[in-house]
Amino acid sequence: MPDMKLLNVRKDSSIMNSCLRGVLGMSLCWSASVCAQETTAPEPAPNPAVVEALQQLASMADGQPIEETWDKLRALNASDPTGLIQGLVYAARDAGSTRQAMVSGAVIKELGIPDGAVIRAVVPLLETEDDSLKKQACNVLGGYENQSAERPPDFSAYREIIAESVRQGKPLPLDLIEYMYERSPGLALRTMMRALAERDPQRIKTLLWAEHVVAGVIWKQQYGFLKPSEIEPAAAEQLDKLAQDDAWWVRLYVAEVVGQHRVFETPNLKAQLQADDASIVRQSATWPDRSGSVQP
Amino acid sequence: MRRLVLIAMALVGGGIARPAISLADCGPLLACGDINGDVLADLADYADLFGCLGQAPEFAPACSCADLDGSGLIDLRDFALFAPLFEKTSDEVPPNCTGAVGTLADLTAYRPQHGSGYAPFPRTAVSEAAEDSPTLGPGIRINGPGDSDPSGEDDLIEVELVIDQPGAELALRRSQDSLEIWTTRDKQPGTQIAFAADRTDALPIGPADMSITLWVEWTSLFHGLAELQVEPLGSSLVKDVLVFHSFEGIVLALGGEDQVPSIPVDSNHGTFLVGVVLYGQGYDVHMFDEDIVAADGSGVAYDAAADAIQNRLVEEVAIFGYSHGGGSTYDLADRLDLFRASLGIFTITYTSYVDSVSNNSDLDVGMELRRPPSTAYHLNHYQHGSFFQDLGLDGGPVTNSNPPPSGLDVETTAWGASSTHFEVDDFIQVRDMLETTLIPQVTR
Repeated sequence: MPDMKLLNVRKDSSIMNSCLRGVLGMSLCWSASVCAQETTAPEPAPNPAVVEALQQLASMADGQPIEETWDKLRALNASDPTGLIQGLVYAARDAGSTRQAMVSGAVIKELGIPDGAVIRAVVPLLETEDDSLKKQACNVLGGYENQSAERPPDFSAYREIIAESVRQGKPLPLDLIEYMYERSPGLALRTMMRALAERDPQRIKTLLWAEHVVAGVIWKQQYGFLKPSEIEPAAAEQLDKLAQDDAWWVRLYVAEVVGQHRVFETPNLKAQLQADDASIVRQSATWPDRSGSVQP
Repeated sequence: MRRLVLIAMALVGGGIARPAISLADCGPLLACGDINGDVLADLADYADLFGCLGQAPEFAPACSCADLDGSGLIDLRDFALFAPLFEKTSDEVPPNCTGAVGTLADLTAYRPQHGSGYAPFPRTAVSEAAEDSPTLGPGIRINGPGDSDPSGEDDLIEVELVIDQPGAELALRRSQDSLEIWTTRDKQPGTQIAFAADRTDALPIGPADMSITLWVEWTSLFHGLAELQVEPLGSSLVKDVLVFHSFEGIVLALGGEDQVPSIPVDSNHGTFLVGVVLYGQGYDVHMFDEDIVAADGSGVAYDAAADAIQNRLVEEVAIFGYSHGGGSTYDLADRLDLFRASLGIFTITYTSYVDSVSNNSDLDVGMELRRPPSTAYHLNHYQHGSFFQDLGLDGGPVTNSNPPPSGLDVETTAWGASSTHFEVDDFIQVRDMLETTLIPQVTR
């Protein structure tokens, strides 16, 4: 198993990188050799031809002939599918009317672009420092997770992307990882465990059980068996234990789950996480002041 | 508006309005000179007085309120008392009229706040005609102890009292102790106006002031109607009255993609046009950009509904939306239904889709054809098109919807033939149907 300790920080920032919290602009490496090769990725930009074609399509009146524009889009999908998809995300972000806002989804449906292709094209946009673009990318990814009130999001596509990075010795897609933790800390923890190829059954059981105990408290709060202000001591014990774990992605789980369910917060846990060796954990533990009640 | 008085009036021959009330009824309800109950002593009252001249209330009860001095006969002495009151009002009531001019006092209530102000609605006064209606009058949220106000206290109702004489001495009377009155919107310490036996002392109107703004709070943890009336400090004559209804329902309106509630409301945002109408008709309406509803139903709209159910005893929820707002209507209803055990007892009494598109993301263009879980009544409007007509964005039939059996394809109507996704929410027929079907289903 590779050494998962934090070895390098490419960039640091006091601003959090997330759909909800702005831009982090930071990367972690899982091996020193990988970090040595790492460079700052250029900020993505939309393909001008895509932008032009989408603007034409969005500005047309209902029923107006659009075949010529449509042919351009089909050609772009054949020559630069990633550029087209990323252009669709930009277009959705920049929409100024209902028609403009709905063009991107309609084009994807009409061209029959597979879900996996959209996800792989959009994930790199999470690295942007442009808050509005990042928010739009998060929104688009959410649409492919098949989540509902009763059904958790599906991170299987992300697991494969992360596992691929591990297999190929590339830097981990930290922005994607943090996105997952924000969406669902427990599922993100389990996804990371598999993507990073944890093989020790005892360690797997330890992590699974801890997450299960904490998730049980959240479930009991959501369904009214515990008040939002109540927790069970066993969950607090598990969080304390995970906060001491060697792996930053385990400690990140603690920071995220406590940030989302502040009833778990204790002064010791907060101090410990905010002084964590990994800046991604420290920054995730920069929770806002408590205010209002949290609904399930 | 003094409807109670007007209800008691009857037209009696000669085109003259005659009060069909007894002397005892006349006393606390009508000011001296206001024989017909319209507040002012005017030509109509003069005509009434003239019609009663020479008659005795003992034998002509309809003339009771014309006997201003209580002499038992309507005569020139009553005209002498009427003259100084002409086109004015009195704080006295028959038979104890002295001719002293009183104060005109008008209460105006406003529709509920949202956060730190009224947005996304304009500050909206309840009309004179509606202000004492148990349904159309001012609605008010129960301000329970656990109520969440993330943007600050916004559950108090603004009431403006306007008078025609600076510094007039007036008091408020409430019909029940659910109502508390403050002079600040956020209940600053020391700004509560105390009641004793459901009546205040003189209101803090400065000697040069012609108005005062009051903030009304509903503090009891039960629903009902409550009157708030203004009267002279020295008598119980009703100058004006408001009837508050505590909100038992909440209405959530979700626009289409890229539709954001605005002031003034955009004429192309049919969902919000309906929301504004319902807000003006006494509902607690909350309008949102549908993007605030996540695929799992969570977000600000869910929090608003959950808070209302848990802390304000709201028992009825209505949700409607257009396009992606329809998809979000499903997601929101789904989450509310799923977490009933932690929320409390409530019914989703009404839902509506207008050309509903599922909303797992901004790029989701699937048809939302699922009936919102547990809704008691679902209205469904949709149209159909193609990619080359309107990007192929369609709602569709939803089983067990209204009109039966699965909603209305507007393209089967004369008014909606050849309509597209981008205009279907704006049809007056669609908006009217929303309003007329929601109102009987949802308690204010």
